[in-house]
Amino acid sequence: MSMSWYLYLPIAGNAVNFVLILALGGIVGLLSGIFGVGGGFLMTPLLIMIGIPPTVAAASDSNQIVGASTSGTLAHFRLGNVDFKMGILLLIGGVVGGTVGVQVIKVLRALGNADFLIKITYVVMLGFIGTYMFQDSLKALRKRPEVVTVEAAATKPSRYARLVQSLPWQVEFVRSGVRHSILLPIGLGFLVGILAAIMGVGGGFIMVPVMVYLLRMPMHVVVGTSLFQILFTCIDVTIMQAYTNHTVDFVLALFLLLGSTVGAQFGARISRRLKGEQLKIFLAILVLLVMVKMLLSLLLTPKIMLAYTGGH
Amino acid sequence: MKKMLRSLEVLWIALLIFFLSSLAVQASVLKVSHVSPDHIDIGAFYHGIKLKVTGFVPADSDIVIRFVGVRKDVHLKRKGKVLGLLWMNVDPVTFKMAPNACIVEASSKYGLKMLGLKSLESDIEIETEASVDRERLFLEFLKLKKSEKLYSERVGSVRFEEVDETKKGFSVDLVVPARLTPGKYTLQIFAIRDGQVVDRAEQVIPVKLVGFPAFLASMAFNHGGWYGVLAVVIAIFAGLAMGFIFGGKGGAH
Repeated sequence: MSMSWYLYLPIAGNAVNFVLILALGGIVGLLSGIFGVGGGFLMTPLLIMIGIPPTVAAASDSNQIVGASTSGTLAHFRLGNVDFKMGILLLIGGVVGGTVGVQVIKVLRALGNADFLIKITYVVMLGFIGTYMFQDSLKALRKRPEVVTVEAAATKPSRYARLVQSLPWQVEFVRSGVRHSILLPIGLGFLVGILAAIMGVGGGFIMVPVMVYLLRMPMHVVVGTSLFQILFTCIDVTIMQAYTNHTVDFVLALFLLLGSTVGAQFGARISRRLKGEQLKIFLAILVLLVMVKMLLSLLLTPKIMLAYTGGH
Repeated sequence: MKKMLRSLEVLWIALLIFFLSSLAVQASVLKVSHVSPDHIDIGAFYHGIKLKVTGFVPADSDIVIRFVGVRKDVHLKRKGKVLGLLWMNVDPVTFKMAPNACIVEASSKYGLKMLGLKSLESDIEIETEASVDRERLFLEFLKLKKSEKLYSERVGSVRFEEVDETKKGFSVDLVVPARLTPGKYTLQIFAIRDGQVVDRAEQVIPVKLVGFPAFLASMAFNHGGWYGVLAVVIAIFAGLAMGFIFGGKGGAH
């Protein structure tokens, strides 16, 4: 019997090959270590594909991300890449925004057609962020291929920049090397929190571009700080899901975690070797790929005309 | 004397009827001699098992064996086109009292036609918008369940063995899927002939979690909050441990 390769997951209600789970964790961990995104938007669909119910896949993945982002944050902290001050301010905004977002989604559900709005928001956001990042880094790579330190868009004194500078309570963020009003990260964190709650994701892939383009933080600090925030978001999600929906499969999470922590460590190293603009362009491609996949799932005739509710 | 003769006649006829009818009963008898295992324990390494069923059926009959799960309402969303372009989950559909699993093994195609997955349609009520075609929805439901490997049907895995003119032995290995949740499952065995069920037998197969999965499930469902906190704490420690293991190898920048 080949029993040694399989483990039964009591919460997911299915048996899985644990080598496969380790490998999935490793790949997603690698990406999250490189780009500072939680990887939830990649992992959850992969888990559903191997037979884990959608709600269990999403909840167990946040449990896994807790571990992965702990190890990722630690790795980036050692490299001096975590701006705690900025991270905590964004987090405060994010938590409040997330709470508001959950209420927004409840109202939308009651009005009907919430799913439609969620998916359209997804595709538009991903498309917009991905395209912008892609173009921006391509421009920067072409113009100054020898540049090592990153700060592409800092020179334009746009209307946005003037507005931001006129805000009260300006504070120095030493790690990021920028000066902002504390209202800016709290406000942006709030907006990302709302979006993340509506879309049902950790929000790493929205937060990263926000930090790069709106807070003008250097890419490496962005990655470390993003992981630090994701850690707290996912602790909250894991406990809430375990308490209210009983959808956290701990065994699944632990095996994903074993794979992903190893992946994340290598990811942090690769991230250090790559230039900021290269990092941005890879993340842009990743975001665009996910967007295309979502768009196709909206346009192509589905194989089965019925779906479970709960996970998106 | 005449009276006696007549009563003898009656007795004779009665005996004959009794004999014939007992023969007929014997001919239509389905007997399940062995089901192994008779219960399923889901331990840490469970990933599906074979349920071995043996017994006897009338020589001229076919056989259908079904492993049917717990009946519950299943809530789903129907997909439809929005704005004539985009596929979305449009409206809710409930399949009333649909079994969570249904595995069918039959000795002939015609057995499947009679008692296969499609036959479930008659006892699953579909609740949805009035205008939707129920039959198509039901076929989509079967597709969904088959894709999860919770519903399946096949012909040809039943083996027969000749015994005498009236009966034959059967044996089948019914494959119980890995994706199984605890509950009371029912093993149903039907002997069929000429489109009729001539005899049937049923046996409850209890499925329960044992060992580590049982412990984990009871934690998760009965002490959800603590379970969540524990899951987070262990994840953080695992993350830190991995960080230190790798950090020690020369990540000191």
